[in-house]
Amino acid sequence: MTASVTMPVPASRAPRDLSQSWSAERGPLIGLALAAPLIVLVVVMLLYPLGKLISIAFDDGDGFGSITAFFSSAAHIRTMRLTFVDSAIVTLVCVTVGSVVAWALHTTASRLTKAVLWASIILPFLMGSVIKLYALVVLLERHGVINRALMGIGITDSPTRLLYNQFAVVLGLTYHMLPFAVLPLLAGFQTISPDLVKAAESLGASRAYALFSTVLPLSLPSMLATGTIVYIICLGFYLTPEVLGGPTTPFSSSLIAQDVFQFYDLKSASVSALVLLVGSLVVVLLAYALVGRERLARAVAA
Amino acid sequence: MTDDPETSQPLQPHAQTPRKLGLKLDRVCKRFGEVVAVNGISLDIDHGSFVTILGPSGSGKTTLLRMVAGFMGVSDGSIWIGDRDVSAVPPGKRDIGMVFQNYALFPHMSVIDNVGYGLKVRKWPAAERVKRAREVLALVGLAGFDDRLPRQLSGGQQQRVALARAIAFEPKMLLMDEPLGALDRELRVRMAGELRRLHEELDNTVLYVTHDREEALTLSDRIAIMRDGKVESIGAPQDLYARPDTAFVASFFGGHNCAPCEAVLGPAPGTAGTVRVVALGQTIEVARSARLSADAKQAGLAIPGDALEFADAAGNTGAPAIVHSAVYMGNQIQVFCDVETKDGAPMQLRIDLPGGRAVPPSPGTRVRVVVRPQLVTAVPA
Amino acid sequence: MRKGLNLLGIAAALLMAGAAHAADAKLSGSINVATWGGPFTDAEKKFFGEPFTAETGVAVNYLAQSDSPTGTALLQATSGNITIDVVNSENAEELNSRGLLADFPDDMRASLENESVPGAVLPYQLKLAQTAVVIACNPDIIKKCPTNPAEFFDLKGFPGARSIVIGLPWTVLNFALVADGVPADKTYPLDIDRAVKKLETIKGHDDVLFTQSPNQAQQMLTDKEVGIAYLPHGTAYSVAQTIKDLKIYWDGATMTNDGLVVLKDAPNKAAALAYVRWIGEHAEAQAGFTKAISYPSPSKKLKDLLDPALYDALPTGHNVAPEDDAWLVKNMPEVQKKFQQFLAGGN
Repeated sequence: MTASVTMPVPASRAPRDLSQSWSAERGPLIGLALAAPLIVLVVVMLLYPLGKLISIAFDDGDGFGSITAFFSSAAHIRTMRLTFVDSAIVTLVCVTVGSVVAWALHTTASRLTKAVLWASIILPFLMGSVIKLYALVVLLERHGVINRALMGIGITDSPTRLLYNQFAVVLGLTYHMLPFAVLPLLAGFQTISPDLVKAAESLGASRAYALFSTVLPLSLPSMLATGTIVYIICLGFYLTPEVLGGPTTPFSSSLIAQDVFQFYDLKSASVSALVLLVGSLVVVLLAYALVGRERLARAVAA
Repeated sequence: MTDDPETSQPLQPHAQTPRKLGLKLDRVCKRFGEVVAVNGISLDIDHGSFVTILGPSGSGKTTLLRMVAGFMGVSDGSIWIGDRDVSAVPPGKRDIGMVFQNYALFPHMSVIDNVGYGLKVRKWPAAERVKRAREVLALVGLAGFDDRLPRQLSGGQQQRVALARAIAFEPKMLLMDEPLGALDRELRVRMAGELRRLHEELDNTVLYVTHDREEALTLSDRIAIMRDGKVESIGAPQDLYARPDTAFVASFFGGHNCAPCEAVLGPAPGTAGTVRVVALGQTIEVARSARLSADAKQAGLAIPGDALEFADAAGNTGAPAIVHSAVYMGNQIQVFCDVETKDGAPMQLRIDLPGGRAVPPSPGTRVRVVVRPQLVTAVPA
Repeated sequence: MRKGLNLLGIAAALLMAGAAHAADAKLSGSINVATWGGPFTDAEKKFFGEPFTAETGVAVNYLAQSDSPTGTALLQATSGNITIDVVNSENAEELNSRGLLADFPDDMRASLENESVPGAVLPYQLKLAQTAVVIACNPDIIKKCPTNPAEFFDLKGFPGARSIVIGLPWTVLNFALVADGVPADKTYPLDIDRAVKKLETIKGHDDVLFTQSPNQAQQMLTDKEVGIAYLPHGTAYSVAQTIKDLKIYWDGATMTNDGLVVLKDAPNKAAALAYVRWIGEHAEAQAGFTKAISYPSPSKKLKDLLDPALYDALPTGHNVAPEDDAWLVKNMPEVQKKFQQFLAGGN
């Protein structure tokens, strides 16, 4: 009697054999497990040192005393100003020049042009930064190629100091960062059909206005994103300002290196590093707010 | 259809209006290194006419259009729009509107801004710009879509916006590069009808590029058929269909059978423009293409599918053949037959039989094929 | 800071710190020496490390810290993970004042004192490779060479581009004070503000370039980017190998206090002390080292083992006043911060 009461379980309700179950949707745990190495890396390589940095900066319990000391130092203020302003100039130049190069790469039909442009992007990219710096020194020095050329064509009559100043730093950083600007810009441009420019031209626009009214607004998010990448990388530069600028036009990282290796002053170095970090964060957040809103608008519209 | 492309004679679609030149191509060439994409095309198009450039891919039709638009320079020759040589004029100053295959709508602009773009660069005041854009949108049946973005529209709607944008500033010349290619068939037919209707309402010349012969047939006043960088033939759709002047036009445009003549017997006595030939076991008198010289010794025949029919299989008229396959298509049945030729060379012909309730012959059936000479044209072999 | 590529500073330091860790100092029979790299270390390896290993079986690893071996040692001490045994320290007082150094055993100290010139042996340090910062001038491109600090600061009277190496800031302050009229042996305690004021008179001038590393100054001299430089004597000596006419002036120079020290918490302290002792007791090895790179060694016999021209190129061969190490250690933070303000602040 009791045996006959047992109802067959409908097939769709059958308890799943977990060892053989398959689901088109991944469970949240699998994603987490896959990301685990990265999470560990972030914690170990980023959060722990960051905590350490903060604890060194504020370790003697005088609250914001170390911050106050930092901002009352003319050297630190000027260094920060140089770092942020020079990086901004470099970013502007890189995004502008990079956009031109990337657009040319995107639209040219000439294989030769394409090859030359790619070579001019990739070769410096592959070259070591020390070699690049040395090349610039050779070009810019008092008896270098550029000075000789300037004197040769009569623009100057004695060698001009092109090295060891802000100009050299900005030039060097731009040279270094240009490939980093071109590649993401190109990726952005590749979503824009060159036909848009042709359409604008056929509608009566000049070439310049056609680009300005179609490509520019469409690529603004990728330009902003690119600018952010370039800017953040620039802020942390050490070698280029050190070699091309020298001690009187330092970037923050030079001051940090001095603090660590020459003055054995980890506290001051930590404060500098924190200020730099906060500055970078502000830039990222700002860019995210701008780009993010744009993307959001598109997502909502679509 | 008897036109030689070098000295083409423009047709007059609106017979009562005085003739005015819309577009003139004068020995236009385009070379890419060794490759000649467009090889000395001369063409006169009346203002107000709708001309289609039809050709297989690689025939140079898109290159030709891009040269007219100004996106490519000419290697040789000159291009005139109206009475102006525009060969060295930038696209924006050629007074053209262009519709792109992928529409090329500005994705970041609303419909009204897209349509008003050409007016904006022409410095129209904002209020008039909007007014005009709304008029044109109403004309293409998109009233009330002003503030949508292109991606919020269907393919057909995007197509209309592209069209509205290209005609908003009333250009003399409207260029279209396979504008219906991205639409599904039903929409394509409907849009083609609308394009034709719009053309009647507007005062412009249309140069339309396509590889689809149905579109060309539906839309055009005249069709220029391109092949290997040259215009193979130009004429009204009916002429090109009924009396193709080359084998290529017959097969590519008309979809006709092409069969070689077994013998050319010379002009039929007393009738100019005809020729007597032997083909498919028959001696027939057919129309002669102007491209075929009167004393030619060899010729091919352009035979429409409905110019062939079956004769009594047991008799001895026509050519013996075996049914290869048959396709029922509703209003007609297309039967493909392998014809036995004297020299044994394979030849397949398509025969269009009336459809309806008729039953297609089964493959392998032995038949005899005869030709109705009235619909056949002799073309150069 | 006198050797090697300052350029690769942080990266190199971090890499080497990692390498040192990987080398696992617990392996018996090896020691790690934090040093300057470049020709300096090549000479150390050839004249000290290899014969020492051959004799004792203890392997010697040289870890190049081009910016500052002392700084690296301090970083290791701060993190509590010490892998360095011996430091070629440019600032032993700093390490000693933090209690990081091992004192030499009595017998070792007695032996070293017996072998060395007076003043070369401290309780925790064997002086080696001291530096004097000197004026170098290339008469090929400079019409009138400045021969002392006052003339170096006289840009009008002695025109031409000049480079000032700032890696040892107190030597620059000392240099400015002498230029301002303080006798060379009376500069300590340094009047920092007066020195900075003097330096301000030439900062920003187109002819004056401050350079972090001696290598950069060397490159500028050989590239003729500058004709005059204030730079460590060893670098000047090295430049003189290329520019044969190079003039070197010792007027107003002071001598740094470099030397070998052993860390108190060195993983292989016994071997480390043995290494220092071996060097102190081998006059021929010291002479070879000095010959190779023209930095002084402490041995009494050095003068007899070297030819007079080279002996003359050493700070120990000149009447060069020593620095006041005790004052420097006490006032180093002020020296450095004020110097940093001078360089990076203002315009």
